[in-house]
Amino acid sequence: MKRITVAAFALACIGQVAAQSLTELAKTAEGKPPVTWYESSPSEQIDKVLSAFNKKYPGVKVRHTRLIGGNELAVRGVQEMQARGYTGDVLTGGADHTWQLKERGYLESVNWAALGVPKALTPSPYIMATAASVYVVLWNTNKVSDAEAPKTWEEVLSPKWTNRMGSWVRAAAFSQLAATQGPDTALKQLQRYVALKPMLFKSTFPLAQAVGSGEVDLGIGFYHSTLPPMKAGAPIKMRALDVVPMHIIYSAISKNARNPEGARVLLAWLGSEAGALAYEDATGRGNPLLEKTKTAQFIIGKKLSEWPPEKSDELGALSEHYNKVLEAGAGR
Amino acid sequence: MVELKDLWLTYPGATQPSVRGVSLRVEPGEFVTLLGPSGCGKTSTLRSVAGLESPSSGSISIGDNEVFNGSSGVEVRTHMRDISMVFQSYAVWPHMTVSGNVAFPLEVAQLPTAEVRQRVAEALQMVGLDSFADRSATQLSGGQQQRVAIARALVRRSAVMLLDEPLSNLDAKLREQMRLELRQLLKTVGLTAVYVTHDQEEALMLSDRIALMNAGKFVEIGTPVDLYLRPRTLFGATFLGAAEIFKVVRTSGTAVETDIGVLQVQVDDAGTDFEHVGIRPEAIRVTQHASPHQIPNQLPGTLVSAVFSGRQQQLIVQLRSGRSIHVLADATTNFAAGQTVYVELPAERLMGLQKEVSPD
Amino acid sequence: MRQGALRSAPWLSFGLLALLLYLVAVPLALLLVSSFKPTGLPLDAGWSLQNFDLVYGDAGFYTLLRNTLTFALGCTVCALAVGGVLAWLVERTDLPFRATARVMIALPMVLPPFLLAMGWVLLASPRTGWFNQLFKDALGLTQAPFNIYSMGGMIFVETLALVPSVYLILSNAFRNMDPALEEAAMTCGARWPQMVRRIFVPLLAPALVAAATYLLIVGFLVFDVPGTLGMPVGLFVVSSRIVYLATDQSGGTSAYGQIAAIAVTFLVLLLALAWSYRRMTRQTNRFVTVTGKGFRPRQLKLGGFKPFAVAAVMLYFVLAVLAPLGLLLWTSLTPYLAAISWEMAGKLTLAQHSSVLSNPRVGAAAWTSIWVSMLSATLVTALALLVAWTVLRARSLGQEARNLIDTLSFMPLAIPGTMIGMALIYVYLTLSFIPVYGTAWILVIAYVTVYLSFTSRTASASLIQLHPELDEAARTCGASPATTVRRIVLPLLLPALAGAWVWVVAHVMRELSTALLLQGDENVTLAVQLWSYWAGGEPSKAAAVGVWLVIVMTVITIVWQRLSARKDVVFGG
Repeated sequence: MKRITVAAFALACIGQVAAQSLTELAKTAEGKPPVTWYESSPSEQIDKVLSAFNKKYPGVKVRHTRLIGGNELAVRGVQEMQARGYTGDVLTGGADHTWQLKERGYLESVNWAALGVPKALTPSPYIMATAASVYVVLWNTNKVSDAEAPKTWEEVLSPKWTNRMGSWVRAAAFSQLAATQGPDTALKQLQRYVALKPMLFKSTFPLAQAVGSGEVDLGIGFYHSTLPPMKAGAPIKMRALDVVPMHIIYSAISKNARNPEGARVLLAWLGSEAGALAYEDATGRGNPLLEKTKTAQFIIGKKLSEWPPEKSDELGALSEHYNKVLEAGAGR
Repeated sequence: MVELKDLWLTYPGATQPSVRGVSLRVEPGEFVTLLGPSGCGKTSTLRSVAGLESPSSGSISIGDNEVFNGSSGVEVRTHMRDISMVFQSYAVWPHMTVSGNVAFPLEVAQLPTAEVRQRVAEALQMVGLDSFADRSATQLSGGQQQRVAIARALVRRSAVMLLDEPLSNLDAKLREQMRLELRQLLKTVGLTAVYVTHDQEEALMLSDRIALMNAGKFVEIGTPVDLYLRPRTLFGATFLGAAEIFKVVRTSGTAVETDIGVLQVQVDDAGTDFEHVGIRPEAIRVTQHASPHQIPNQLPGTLVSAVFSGRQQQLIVQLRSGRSIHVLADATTNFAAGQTVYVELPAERLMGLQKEVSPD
Repeated sequence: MRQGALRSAPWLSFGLLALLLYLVAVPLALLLVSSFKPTGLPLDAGWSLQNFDLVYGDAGFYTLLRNTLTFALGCTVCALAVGGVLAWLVERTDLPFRATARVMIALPMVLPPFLLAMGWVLLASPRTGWFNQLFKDALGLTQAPFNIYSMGGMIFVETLALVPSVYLILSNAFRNMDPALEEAAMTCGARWPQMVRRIFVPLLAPALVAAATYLLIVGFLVFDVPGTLGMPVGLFVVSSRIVYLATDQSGGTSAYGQIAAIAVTFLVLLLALAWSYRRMTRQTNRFVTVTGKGFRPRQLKLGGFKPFAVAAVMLYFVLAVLAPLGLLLWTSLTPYLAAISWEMAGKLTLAQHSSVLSNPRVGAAAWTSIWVSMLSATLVTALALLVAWTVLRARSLGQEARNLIDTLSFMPLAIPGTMIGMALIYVYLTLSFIPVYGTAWILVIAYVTVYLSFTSRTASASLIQLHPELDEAARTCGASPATTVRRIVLPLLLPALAGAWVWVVAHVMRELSTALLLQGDENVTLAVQLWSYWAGGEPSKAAAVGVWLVIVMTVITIVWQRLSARKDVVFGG
């Protein structure tokens, strides 16, 4: 399912109208308590994002609370809504997490268009695509030459990588691949991958570190988690494969938010090029649906593969199954 | 000063009561010992008075205060009772000095420092430890630690002092010495004391009265003299000192038919129903010739053995009935095994014994 | 007949029971409710057994249990052995430099286990490990001699992490042993093995069982070491599943219901262990070794063994402290995670340290960690003393009430940190008039709950050795129970309690799962900050924070050592 990147002119058209109402919203927001933002990046990174945000909207204060993952976010949202009737104003998490909250009726429906957010970012009035975790293949340049390094999934699954491969302990890449390849093909690919006896890592961050230190020669990780060791000088390179699975990260506004106006301003900004770039600079995760981001540039021309948010349940069941396959097969 | 009424104590989870309905009244200034074999309940009784055990029923009063009453639910906690206690293990606190230990009860009562210092010095002097005041408690010998424990109990000037076998961990010589010192001390100060021991000699030497205890009950209560010379129960005769016991078959007036023959008892005992007659070995007289006139309770017998033991000779004499008895004779008489001897059981030393009497 | 066990129960014991019910029974109740809820969230509708079905009906779970059992038993046996030997060497022999040894043995407590594991990966990973390189070069081997990614590797590293806790419990017990008891055995002709078997082990049994129980349960539930060393090669344990259910489970929320269902097994196990511990120590006078009689524990002269003993302690120190710390330091100085090599040595930089030290968030996190850890440690140690005292000495409560208090204080061990965090969120969201949610105070409450198990066992093991007549004597001197605790029990137990205090401080400073869960925007701890760097792709900064963490803890530990050394003098030592 190809998603065409945003029509910049659409932005420009609505731009004028949107800008006006945003200023009004910002004004209202100033008088209210700070916008609470539940999101999973380290606070230091978000500090940078928010300082860029406050350059444009100095009066809108935002307080970031770091939650350590989408599941955590969803649970916290449910607990708080059930116990006290309100939760963080802005919630940022994965498709399944935000969809969960929407199904429970905890999210507010937003007129994204009126805020100037491009249509492609908003598959539903409840959620807005903010960034994405994009799968890449990464390799240690001392152990694998650029020519050798895989360009396609078929090359990834070659037996020559046996005992040299590293992987996230979740087989989520393959469950997202199933969105375009179909579950049967994806499962077969997973089984061939498991035959390579990959070393499993709790998250893609230590995976990237391990590739950098030579513990494994190559691996399937994320774009944003490979950046830090690369930037620090580790001998790592990465590229996008022929089909790029990904997890889009969505933001939403909760019901009974304390500062819904500020929330709208923040999201409108994150959905704009300036905001998305600031977010990407700080966290490494860019919005693949906005063409100016580095992430979008990285995967330009590739086929994207992801289940839409409405299919979260199916994705869940598939993921459970695939994770078991990966776990069972691992072990050197 | 201390009164126990019908005290019962069953430990949780035990099938049998440890203390079965004991009653006792200790007068002010009196030194009463609870004496009995291990497991007889004497320590449990003492600890109940201290409040360290919770009786099942009955009542306890210390001074004018009722500190326990099973039916009305009164139970005063240990630290509110006007008592002091000396433990078998001394329970001297290792992290304090001698004077720190002794001062503790006074500090707890929040007495002014000057008074504390004075009374501590007094107490230490009484037990002879005044030069040890600043020594750490762990640097003392057993006997010295015991004195610290005593001083600590003395300093409080409580209504009653409770002592739980305080001398049993000392060696024999020290024990003898401390016995007398302890009695002297308590009498000087005029304290009421309840003392627990299994050592009869100690009980006889120290007490104003002894409460003989067995299987949770008081068997007999009396002065040491009374209990020793005139016990009224079989247990009293055999636990306290040694005794030769003869089973009573029939009584008629002052004549008692026993399994060794007919014995004459004292007039005031006549008519009382007792099952046994006993006598202390040292009360039995032994001669080598029969006396010319008829002496009541003189029985012939054969000398089985005579063993010299310093102060006396210990004889075993076999009577005509077949029964052998122990007799103590003076050290200088010459005896020969196998010779006929005559033993006399003086009527005034014969003890009429029953299984059980009401203790008072 | 007695009118009722609670007839004269003082308010203190009742208050304690109420407090424990609040702290422990509430999370426990939420856990049980959660296990019967289909979504696992206690406030959602509907009841179901599906969580139990999902967990126990899954054949894979039993493989997990088998692995976990091997791991837990392995760690328990090894940690008891190593910890026991070390405790004995330090407390009962004439080992030189004893004071230093005490600090050295306690130090590993402060390292977050995943940093310890990471350090050992860099040392003993078959491909990049430094020790492997050294041994291969030195001995000309083709195959790496060590593979840390194995069950043996996991047990090895976890043992190193657990030894300080074992040492703490056993050293107290050793220190309080009356030599008369051993001398009596010796005069009966008992030789060393017999002495150990028939005198030492039985006398030390409460401490040994307390330590073993703690180790077993921890071994069952710990994550960091098996996660770092086992997961890569597919060696999964129960905690891996728990973490998976919390963070990686698909379906949009954490599967608390299944976590609770798993926890139920461990609760049952824990109750069984606690019951047998209680039965064994019921005749408490059997284990009394501290009477008023004052003594010096016998010191064995090591003689010819001295160099071996010193070498053993040094070896432990190298493996548990120097090597991982060295790696930590190395990692904090490299720009990216890399094996030790001359090439990398040329790229060492202090940039991470300066970045970390100049980050105001790190300073704030450090402050939070310090005060939260010290306050939690103080509160939980006081509570533990109260619990031990009430269970062992307070006769005015009935036996059932005391058993309840004992069990309640022990239970938190089996409740995973995530569940306690989850429970506390509910409680303080609901009781919103207690403004604790999202602040560091909720962390204090969580830690008091979590660490009550260990500290109450330590306090209890020490109190058992104290002759009851020592406090009975105080009461017959007119001291109320409170005064008795303050002037007699507390001073005599202070070395053990001080050790427990330091232990809690160290563990709070490095604790992660609960702190992460309860994270708000103003209660970030140093451990969370450290983890944040790690999970955010900056392991070097994480290592830098780790280095400073160790330095701070070393200072605290040295201060503790000085204070408790003074107490030894009182005992004529």
